[in-house]
Amino acid sequence: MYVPVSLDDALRYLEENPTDTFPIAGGTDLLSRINRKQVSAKNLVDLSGLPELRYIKRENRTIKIGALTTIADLEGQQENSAWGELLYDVAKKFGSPNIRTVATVGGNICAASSSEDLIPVFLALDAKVRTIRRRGPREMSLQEFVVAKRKTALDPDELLAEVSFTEPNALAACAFEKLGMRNTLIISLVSVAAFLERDQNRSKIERARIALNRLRGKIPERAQSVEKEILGQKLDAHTIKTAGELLEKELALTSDYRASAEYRCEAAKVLLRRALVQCQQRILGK
Amino acid sequence: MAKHLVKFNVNGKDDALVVESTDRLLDILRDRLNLKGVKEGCGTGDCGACTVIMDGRLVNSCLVLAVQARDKRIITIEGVGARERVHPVQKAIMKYNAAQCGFCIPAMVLAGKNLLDHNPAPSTEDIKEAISGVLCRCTGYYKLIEAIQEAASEVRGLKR
Repeated sequence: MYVPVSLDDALRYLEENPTDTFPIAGGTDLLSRINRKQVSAKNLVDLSGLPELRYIKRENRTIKIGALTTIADLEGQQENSAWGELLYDVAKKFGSPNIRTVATVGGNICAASSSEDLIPVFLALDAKVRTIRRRGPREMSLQEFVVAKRKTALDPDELLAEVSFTEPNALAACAFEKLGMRNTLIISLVSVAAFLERDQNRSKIERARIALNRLRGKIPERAQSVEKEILGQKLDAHTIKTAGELLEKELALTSDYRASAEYRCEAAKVLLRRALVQCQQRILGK
Repeated sequence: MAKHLVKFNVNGKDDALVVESTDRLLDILRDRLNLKGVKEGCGTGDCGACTVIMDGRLVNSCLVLAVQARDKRIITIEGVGARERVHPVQKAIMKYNAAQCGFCIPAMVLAGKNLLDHNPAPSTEDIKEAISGVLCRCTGYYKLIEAIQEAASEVRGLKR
């Protein structure tokens, strides 16, 4: 393991050692995969001691979250806002308190699978990511970054540095719902993140973003046809019910040893409705 | 295999050890420092039997590399209470007969103690959440929750 003295030092090491080198942050995903021999990480670079990428800040109307921000940091986020509530919701449902101490935002996104709860959440926030390497930084949407199951757009000499999104306005609300076999340490069978914004007259849905941990493939995706259909509609019980039915048409799920496709589909509809009801209540509460 | 010098503080005592890159915090606590109260259950972060307190927060010591514990303050069950002066959580667990097989108890005590360190007036939900990363396969959670509740009133009394 290489223990860099700074972020620059970590990037230099990655550039000089591009093969079989794994960055490790909290390690809660990587170490359990190494233990199960799913990954043979010959050479680890320890990012856990680097303070440069651990922050949550607001610049103008953009919220920026450093990749080494822990899930516990999100949980401690006492921001009374649509995005603050969403990050608090997901943090409280994430792993266990023990896991949240060390697990990071960047680690969860880079793990790139349907069980990484932060991916649908940041998709619902329409997040961008910034990556860094010695050749220079890159920016892309989160959709572009998560390429396939366990595969990101990162080059071997590159690190995820930051996730950012436009701060939702006062007419917006967000919610996160997740289903697993128990209350803690859940591997999501289904998770849904929703972002809704109403128009100035507070009667219709002006913007909608809905992301699920699985839709057609094995990575989180936006349910764009549902989003399109509920735009301009009233935020009421009828629209919420319809959204669930529309989602069923958009889903193409597969069965595995955790759950059947049929079960996942029914659960996804229920969770979507719950998330939308939550958004509705939060908007009304404002 | 690369070796690293790791300095940290365990149960109030500064220590420095040369460790391998792949050594887990769990391994060095048990095998090098002989702190056998730290248990290995699953080794994948699911059971929490290896829980220790690191800089005031719970971690699974099976998912922390020894190198990553450098400069940290670690508390294991050996650093909580003493035979003559048990911690209120330990005392309440004995009073309520909340320990069955005992394998999860070091982790449960640490989870309870860490909660009370930060929040001496926890609700039942706070307690459930605090111990939620530690599995008891005897499924004796209710007595543990009651015990931590009682320990909380004792801690509040001590502080008064």
